[in-house]
Amino acid sequence: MSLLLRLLVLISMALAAPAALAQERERIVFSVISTEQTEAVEALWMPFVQAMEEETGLDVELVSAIDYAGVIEAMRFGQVDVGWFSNLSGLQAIRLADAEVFAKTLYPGGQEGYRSVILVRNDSPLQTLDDLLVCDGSLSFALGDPNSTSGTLVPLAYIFAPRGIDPQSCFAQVTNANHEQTALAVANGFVDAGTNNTTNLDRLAQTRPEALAGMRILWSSPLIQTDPIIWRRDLPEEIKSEIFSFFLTYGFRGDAEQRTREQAVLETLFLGGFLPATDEHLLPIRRLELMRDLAETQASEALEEGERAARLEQIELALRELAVEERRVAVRELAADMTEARTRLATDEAGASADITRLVAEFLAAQPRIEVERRIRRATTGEITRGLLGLGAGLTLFAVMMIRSRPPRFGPSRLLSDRLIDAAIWSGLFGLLIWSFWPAEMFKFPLLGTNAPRMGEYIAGFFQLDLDGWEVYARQTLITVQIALWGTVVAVIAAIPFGLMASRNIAPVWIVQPVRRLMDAFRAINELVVAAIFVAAVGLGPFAGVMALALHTTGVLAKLFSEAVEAIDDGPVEGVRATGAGPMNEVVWGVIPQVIPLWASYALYRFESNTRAATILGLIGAGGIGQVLIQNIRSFEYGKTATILLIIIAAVTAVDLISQMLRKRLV
Amino acid sequence: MAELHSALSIDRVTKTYGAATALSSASLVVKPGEMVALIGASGSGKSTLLRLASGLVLADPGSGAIRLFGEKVQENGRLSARVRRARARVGFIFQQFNLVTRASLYANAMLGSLGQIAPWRGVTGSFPNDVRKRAMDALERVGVADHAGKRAANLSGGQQQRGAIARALVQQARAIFADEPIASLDPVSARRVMRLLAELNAQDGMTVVVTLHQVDYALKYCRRAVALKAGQIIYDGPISGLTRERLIEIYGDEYRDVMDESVRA
Repeated sequence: MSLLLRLLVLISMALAAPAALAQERERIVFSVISTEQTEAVEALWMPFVQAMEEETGLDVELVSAIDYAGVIEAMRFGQVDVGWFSNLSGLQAIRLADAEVFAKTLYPGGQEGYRSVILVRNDSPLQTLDDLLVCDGSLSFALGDPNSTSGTLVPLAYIFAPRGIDPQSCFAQVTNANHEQTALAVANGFVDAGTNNTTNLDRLAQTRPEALAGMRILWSSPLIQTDPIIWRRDLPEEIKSEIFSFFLTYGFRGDAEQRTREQAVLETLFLGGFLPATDEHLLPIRRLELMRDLAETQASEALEEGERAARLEQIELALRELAVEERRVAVRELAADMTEARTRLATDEAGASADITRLVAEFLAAQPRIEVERRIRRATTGEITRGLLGLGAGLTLFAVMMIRSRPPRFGPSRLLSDRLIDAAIWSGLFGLLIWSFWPAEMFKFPLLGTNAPRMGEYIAGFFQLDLDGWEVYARQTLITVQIALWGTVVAVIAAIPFGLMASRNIAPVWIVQPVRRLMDAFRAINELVVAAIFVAAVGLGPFAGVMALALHTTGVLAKLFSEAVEAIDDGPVEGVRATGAGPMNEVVWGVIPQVIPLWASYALYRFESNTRAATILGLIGAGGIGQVLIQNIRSFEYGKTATILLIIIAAVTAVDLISQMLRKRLV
Repeated sequence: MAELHSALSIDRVTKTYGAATALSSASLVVKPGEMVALIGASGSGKSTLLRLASGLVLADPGSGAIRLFGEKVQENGRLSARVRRARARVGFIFQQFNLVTRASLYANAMLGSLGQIAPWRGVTGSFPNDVRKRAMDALERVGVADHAGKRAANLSGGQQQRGAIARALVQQARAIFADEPIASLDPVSARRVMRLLAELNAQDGMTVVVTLHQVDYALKYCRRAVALKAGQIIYDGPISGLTRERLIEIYGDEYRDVMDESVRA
């Protein structure tokens, strides 16, 4: 046992050593957000990254993740240096990660922005925005990722907030997904309408023209600025200069041949180059964000009135501050436009003077309103009613049980304390169930029967296997198994001491209790949160995932291990103790041989479930089959999802067979 | 030097479990080389006495000292800092054998050395060569060398109990405390184990203290008897002193019928 442990430590040290030696050139990490499969995104970006390496003399590592939060965390802790962000995530990066905007992207035609749109199917009865906003709970609506500008923020700020509508209460169902998934959901009729943006529609025209042809645009927003390119403020100036000149010249430098080549690369990335920018680029998005906060604050049912008023006041203050900055930019632009118009007076007198009047009028009209509408909402009473109902049900059962267990005329009677405890346990559980009935929506149970055909329809979709790309899925599954393997092994190594320390028959209570609470915490904290913590130290990627799995699994295994230890037979321990052996040997010879079979089963079982749990790790860019699976489910690719599921089932079966063999050897 | 000490000395020791008194102010001295039978009805406190003597159970506060060959095991309800040194001098045999069932008989015998070798050797299973040799010799002596490589769990009760005795031999113990060593064994195995204990006492001068349910085994193999009743020592003397009346006093009135029936049979 201990030989194995030492071997594992040695192996992991040997594996880590070369990585530590390799860092000679200055290295920067460049992050891009992928709305598609990570592998494809990385292939697209490779020529650009190589050019960046040649031009700047830096080692550039490309990371791509499907979620913004991980990248922002990574940037905050110096694990990402430069990144292509969306406007909103860029704003968060600037706030949280001490970053700044230094450039912005252009679209292939050179446009500086895009529009947010709402899509419906061609055959949809919805013709106007008002048709969509009937708010009778009959329609379903797909918003974008909660942090997405065009998918979520713009629609909230321009449609919902001004009308005081909360999408959650307006629609029967509101889903969140990325742009491609939302588009496909609308095209396939899974939702009545969904948000999107013009850039993504251009892309869709190439990747899925048939899906695009089946939809029309119900509403489109004012122009939204392009995406910002952001770096960490504390990058050395010379590195900043290198990166700055690379981005701004790329696609427009060297001879005609080089320009053509670089423009081709930009085209595959749906870009038309980059322009310089500052944090002012994000002013419009700050407005959008404040409008969203305003809408949420007004719509939230969880807030007390006092708190609501306080928050509204804060938002009003923020809007005022924002207005000052906006005015500064607007005035600068107005000055430039006026100068330009006045120089035109010589050549085009009528047009120029009309322009001057118009410019001033537009400037004045665009000055934002700041007053915030304050609405009153009623507090909900449902919660209290349900609590009372649960309490009532519990007390009733308590009374019934006490009466039924009263001393009988014949036969032995039970102790009063036993009767009380029994009745309290069962009636408490019953009351809890009643109380939880509505929050858990258990009243929907009959739907399982009435809507069974729909489930059948859904499942039928899986029977059309789409075997394209199964090699990719198999490789990703292998990565997942590898992540799960290391995550589990690290957890087992940690769970042995923790498990022993959490066992009442081994350790004193002042060790057992703290260790148990620590293990509770390990189990309770979501793997994604743990992963984000590790991202701060080790950057985005599988290792953060391994550690997140390991921490969670340590919490689970230590608990199971300690329960096994508490159930041992004391005999062998006494047998060893009676020879004069020390505490270490009592554990190694008296305890461990007894629990090894159970420990091995638990560890192997956790390995199996970690293979499945590793799915969540895609969100922090850890790769593996989970990421691919989530994307395919979200884009309603039944055939591909089915193929992936088959591969996962095969992998889990293989893991199970190997586990059984191992257990036979160990027991 | 050590010969000057008693093998076991217990000085006014009391042990209560909640409201029940298992042992009440009992004192006992066993000299080196003695073979003592502890007898008494179930719950009379004989097992407690033996387990207290090895420090497997703590006496109540206020109790006197318990020593093995002069080395203190516990006093006043607290284990001595040198309890492991004291335990190493005495091999303990249990009714349920208490071997490490998943380890081989050979490994179990080697565990007898844990009180003498460096802790890391035990933890990693790197036993010194002389321990390995002693283990094989001991298994040979108790007659289970053929089963040395088998897991303890796969052996009969008699074989396991002899393995436990081998463990005490590897321990180079100067005394063996046996708590109901034959209560779970068939008559043939029981006789073998008792003969082995007697042989170790006679040939090697090993002190043996054995608790027994079966009075006839005590009469046959032991020279001194200590009888307990309700936590008190009510007889301590030569085995020949266990007269019919005394046994009835020890085990209660019904024992009269037991003896009468066996006479008739």
